[in-house]
Amino acid sequence: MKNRLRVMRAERGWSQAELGGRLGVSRQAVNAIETGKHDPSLPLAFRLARLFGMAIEEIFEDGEGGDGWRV
Amino acid sequence: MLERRQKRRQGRILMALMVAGGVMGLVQSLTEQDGAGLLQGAIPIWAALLLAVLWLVSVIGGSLWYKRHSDELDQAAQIWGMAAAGSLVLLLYPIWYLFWRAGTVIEPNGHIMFGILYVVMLAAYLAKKFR
Repeated sequence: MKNRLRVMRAERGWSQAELGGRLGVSRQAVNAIETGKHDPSLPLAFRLARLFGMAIEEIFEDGEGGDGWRV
Repeated sequence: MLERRQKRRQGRILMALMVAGGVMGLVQSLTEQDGAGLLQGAIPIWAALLLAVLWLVSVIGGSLWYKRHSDELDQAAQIWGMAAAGSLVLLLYPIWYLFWRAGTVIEPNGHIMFGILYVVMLAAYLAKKFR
């Protein structure tokens, strides 16, 4: 899943390890999320959103376009 | 740092599990009644019970302890490893059985299947975690 995490982290001058420490995950986990190799769980996505003061959909892009509600 | 602390704890858990494995091997070798070869001789029932309890406690306890000290990336890799290994065994065992029925291979063997399960689980875990 594409996201703006790397840019947002750089804007605050945080390293991956520092962000990981604030979120309670490893540096590897932050790197995997930034590179789109790991989609975070919903609780972790909410922690990220709270930390950056943004909504989840402002950080992550689902790549579907539109409002995304499908059955 | 959180990650360094996490790695130290995980290292201690793995060390404890290795010690438990060593104890299991040692008890088996000390209590084996007829030296028919590696893992071939019978062991007394008390030793089997003791080792079964040690196995359950160390694997279940170690897994819970490890889960407490790992993050969701690590847990996702563990689940991937277990799923990959389980799927392979489900696919492999019937094929092995059929070829054994056809007389072309040795009889399906629990030790070998267990070994394959562990090796594939570890390889899939590492591939997922460090790709």
